[in-house]
Amino acid sequence: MSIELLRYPTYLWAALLVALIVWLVVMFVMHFFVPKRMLETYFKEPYFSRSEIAVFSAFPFNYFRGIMFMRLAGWPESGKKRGLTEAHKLAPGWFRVASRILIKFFVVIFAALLILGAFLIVAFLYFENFSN
Amino acid sequence: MAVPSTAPGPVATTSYRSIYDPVSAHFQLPPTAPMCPKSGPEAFVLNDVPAQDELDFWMLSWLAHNSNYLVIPGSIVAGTQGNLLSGGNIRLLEQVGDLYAQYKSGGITQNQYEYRRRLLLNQFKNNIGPFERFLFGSKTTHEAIRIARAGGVPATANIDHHVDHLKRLASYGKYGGYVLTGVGVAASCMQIADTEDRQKKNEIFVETVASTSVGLAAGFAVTLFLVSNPVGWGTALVIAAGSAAVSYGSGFLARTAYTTFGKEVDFVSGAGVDSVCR
Repeated sequence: MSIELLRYPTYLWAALLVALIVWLVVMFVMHFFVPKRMLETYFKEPYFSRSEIAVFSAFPFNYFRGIMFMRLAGWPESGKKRGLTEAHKLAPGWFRVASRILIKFFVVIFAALLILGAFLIVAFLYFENFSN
Repeated sequence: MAVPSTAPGPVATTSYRSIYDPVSAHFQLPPTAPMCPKSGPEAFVLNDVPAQDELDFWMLSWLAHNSNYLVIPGSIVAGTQGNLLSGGNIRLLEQVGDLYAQYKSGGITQNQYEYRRRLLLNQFKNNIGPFERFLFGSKTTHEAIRIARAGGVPATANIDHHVDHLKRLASYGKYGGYVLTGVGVAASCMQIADTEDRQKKNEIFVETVASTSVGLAAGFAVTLFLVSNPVGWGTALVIAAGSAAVSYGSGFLARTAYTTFGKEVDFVSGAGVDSVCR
């Protein structure tokens, strides 16, 4: 068995990483399009704890906050535990559609990256330590 | 013109003792001693720091190598600290001093004072969570925020001292995330600039890009999960540690993959990193 077997899975992992970087850039832009009314109305107690508000108000976590509201806009039922099922009503239609597409894309890419990455790490370590 | 070498440089094929021990009978420079041997000990801090002095710089060397993994958890600590010590929270402590003044002027009874003081401090303690130990050391909030009983100082001297201290910490924390990000980028840039070997420059570059990107993506994934599943401090810290591990693993994989299959591609020159990190 040769390490050459890992060449194409490695290329696939690199392609997934590039896709993830592109997604991160798009998310950076989306941060500025999260509806202000949504944030002003729902990013406070009792929907979020004081510590959550503290964490998600500082850099770089203020950029992560956007994805929470994108999920609430795309999948209103996800905010059931926090009592945020009405939050999507403050988001425009295009934001809800974009949120669904971007989050689905992220979940698929990130899950594939992690699974393939774990496999490749084990395989590289095997070839490095046990293979002739 | 050949420049005579006066200081012996590290040579991979000779032991340290024979190189640096001037009384050793075997001590002699090889005729073609390289100034920066490719397979010699790695300069962890800067090339200007001799290999034998690196032990004295272990902290700096560790930070230079691991700074990109510290950006996310460090930013959480710094940013959280900055926000937890917001005006509203610090005001809770200041109110203890106001309550004491009310009690002294006869506006409220001692029991009322003690009850209200306990409520204010309980709320502060709940708000700052595990940061209590970081802020007050071995003392609890209730032990640290006390009226000064010693003569010659105002009764609120203790409270004022802690409030000033917390305000100062808050001002540092506010910019901590930006500072840590800057340090992370600068440290990687410094490592790239400080390495002569082109392959090593590329390895550092791909490792930094992969670990940072996957670390950020892990942050997004955790946040996505948090909307529907609010968690406590303990769980949040475990998740943060997990995301740091994923980030580290990705950096390792990117470096290994580049060394194994991508050596012919020069990302550093192609992306213009070379001209920035000099």
